[in-house]
Amino acid sequence: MKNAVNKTISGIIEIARGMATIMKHFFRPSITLEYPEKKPDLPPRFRGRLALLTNSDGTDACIGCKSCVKVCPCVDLIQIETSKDPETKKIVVEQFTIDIGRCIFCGNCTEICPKNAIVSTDEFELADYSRESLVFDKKALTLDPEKSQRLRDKKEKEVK
Amino acid sequence: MKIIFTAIDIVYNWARSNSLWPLTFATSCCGIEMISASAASYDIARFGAEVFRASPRQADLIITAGTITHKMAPALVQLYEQMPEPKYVIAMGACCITGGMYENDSYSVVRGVDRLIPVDVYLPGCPPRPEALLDAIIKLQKKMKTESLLERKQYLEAHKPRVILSEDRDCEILLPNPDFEVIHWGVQTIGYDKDYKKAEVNCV
Amino acid sequence: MYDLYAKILNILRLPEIIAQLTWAVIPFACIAALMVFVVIFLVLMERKFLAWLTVRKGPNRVGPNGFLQTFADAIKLLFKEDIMSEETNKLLFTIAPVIAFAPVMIIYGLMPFTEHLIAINIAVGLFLVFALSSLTTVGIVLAGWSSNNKYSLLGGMRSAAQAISYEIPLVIAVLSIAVLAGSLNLKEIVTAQSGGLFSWNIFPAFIGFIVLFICSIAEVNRVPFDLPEAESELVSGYNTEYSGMKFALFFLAEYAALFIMSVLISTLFLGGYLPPFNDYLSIILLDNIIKNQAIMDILIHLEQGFWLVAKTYTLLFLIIWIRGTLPRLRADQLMGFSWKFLLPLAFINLILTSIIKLAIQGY
Ligand code: SF4
Ligand code: SF4
Ligand code: SF4
Repeated sequence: MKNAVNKTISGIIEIARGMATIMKHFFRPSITLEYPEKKPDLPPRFRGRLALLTNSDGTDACIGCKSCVKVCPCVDLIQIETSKDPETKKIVVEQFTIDIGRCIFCGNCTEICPKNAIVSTDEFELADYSRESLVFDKKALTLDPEKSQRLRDKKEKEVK
Repeated sequence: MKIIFTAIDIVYNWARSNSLWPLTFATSCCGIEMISASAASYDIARFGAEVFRASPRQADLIITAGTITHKMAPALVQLYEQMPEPKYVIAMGACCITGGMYENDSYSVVRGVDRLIPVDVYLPGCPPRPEALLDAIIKLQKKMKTESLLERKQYLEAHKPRVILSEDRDCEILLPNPDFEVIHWGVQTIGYDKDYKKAEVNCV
Repeated sequence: MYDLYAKILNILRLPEIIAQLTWAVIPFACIAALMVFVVIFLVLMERKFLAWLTVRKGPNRVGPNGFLQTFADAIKLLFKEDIMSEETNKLLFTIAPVIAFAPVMIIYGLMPFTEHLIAINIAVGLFLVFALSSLTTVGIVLAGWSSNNKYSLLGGMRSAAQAISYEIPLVIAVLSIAVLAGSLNLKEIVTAQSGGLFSWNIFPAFIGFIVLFICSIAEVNRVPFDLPEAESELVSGYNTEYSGMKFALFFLAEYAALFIMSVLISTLFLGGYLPPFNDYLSIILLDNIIKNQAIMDILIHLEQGFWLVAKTYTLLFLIIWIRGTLPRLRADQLMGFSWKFLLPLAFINLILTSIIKLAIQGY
């Protein structure tokens, strides 16, 4: 009997304490971020969609070495077509395709790239209505020189 | 007549796009991100979508959050078929869109849920951020607002699963539906419009 | 009121018989409208309050501050496809939501919302309320059985077991009110509590209030007693197979029952539509200003409604608060709690109130 009474009283106290804790939250201002209006503060090393950088004169930074293809965990995700310019004997990147629908945003390709030509941007709102439109070709991936410079600076800051 | 239907359409689309009740369906890591989308800092409830229904009979939306294995596939198709019209699908994460990192050598993963059920919005990422899921829901709402009651038959046709569940439920084999073209996996360049305009990249 | 109505119809040159026939329908039309309005507002309130209790924002995109959220839900449910699987019992599957819904609607008619706003004023009102509120369970069991689904059936059976074991402490707790008021008529029960805060039934029968509160949460299958629709065990319980409009009816019945239970508790224990002072506020404040008796009556009416609504929503807030805090019980804990804890408490309460009643009245 005494045990039962003790149990009941301690049960009531515990429930009351739990309810009081919840009530405390009722008066706290909500911590919700109103997403579509306010964008989140992304961490500095956030890995969003990939992009190709260009040099300041508008030429591709990528030299077509295909290191990124080798290091990417998804086989054949990055597809690069190169050709040799007969005059200058330089490798020209003709096609550079990344299927964002398969990419797992690991960032291996950005780390291995010898020229820092491929980087992760802050873009994460990638939802789309068809699977084909998730395949980004060279035109869609390449950034203009100004943005490229900004991203490059940012990356250098991170390294330091 | 048309005006009346347009008016009904507006109310109808407003109502159902603002009350998307998702099915409680999460199979792996993307599911965690889906759960955190309903937690305090992202709060999917703002869009009226926090009512996660356990029963597919009351759900409008299925977020296929996570890897779908061949073993899970019949269950997924069955759940999808049990949902009442109009129903929508968000394929969340690389695994659901194409198979992701399991795509080249896995023996067990379905290469994209769009081989099983029609997908309305594809959401890449591994896993996508909770905000990205909210963005996908907003995009789905936009899509729903373009639909009309008059063309409902068409949608019913389009919402059929892309596989045939074999009659004998003991054997868990999904037969491809001959009416639908099987989607080839991997990087797709066939039929892809080269001039597709991409949104500007918002960097920094 | 009837005379006025007949006169209006007379002006419209309709025969008297129409007035007689339709007069009975009007209160129920009003009750149905009230019910839908109350439920729509209650669901919104619950979603908002739950959001605030968990530091979220809650629905805020539809209409001003998310006010139209539940309207959107209701319209969507109306348009949704109605699925009935092949092996269901079609007839029972269709009428089960109606059976769950109709008794709740009649209970609305029995409640004294203000002194005169009571659709059916009968001598055994209290008795009828409990008879009807246990009828809802029949609808739930039918729904579970007819949908030919193991989860639904288990949910329905659990609901029946729960209703039976919680009905007993509930009725015994309410018995103490009948003893205190000396009547089963709901209006007389309220009138017996007049005279300010300290003559409310909650003081002599505080234990009864607690027992009734817990039991009524269990009656309407709310958290922490929502075993009939436990998502972790029984997909969603008795309404697993229901979609569209039929599901909406269950939803409506559940929330309408929740509201009416709160009204009932405030009627029985918290003085119903009576104010917590000796006199009506409007009489104290405005009696010397407004000399017109008719206006005064209307004001008192409004004030009575206000007090009832205030008490009811306080209780509803408490219930939502409990939903935001407590986890679900286990099935055996649920039964044990009712039979071993609540039932003895209810008896103790009955004996105590009887003694108090004897001591006050002296016979
Ligand atoms: S981020 Fe990872 S998966 Fe994506 S392309 Fe680069 S290496 Fe491949
Ligand atoms: S992106 Fe970098 S690693 Fe890949 S081919 Fe170009 S230069 Fe080489
Ligand atoms: S896409 Fe990535 S995070 Fe999502 S389920 Fe697949 S492996 Fe997990």
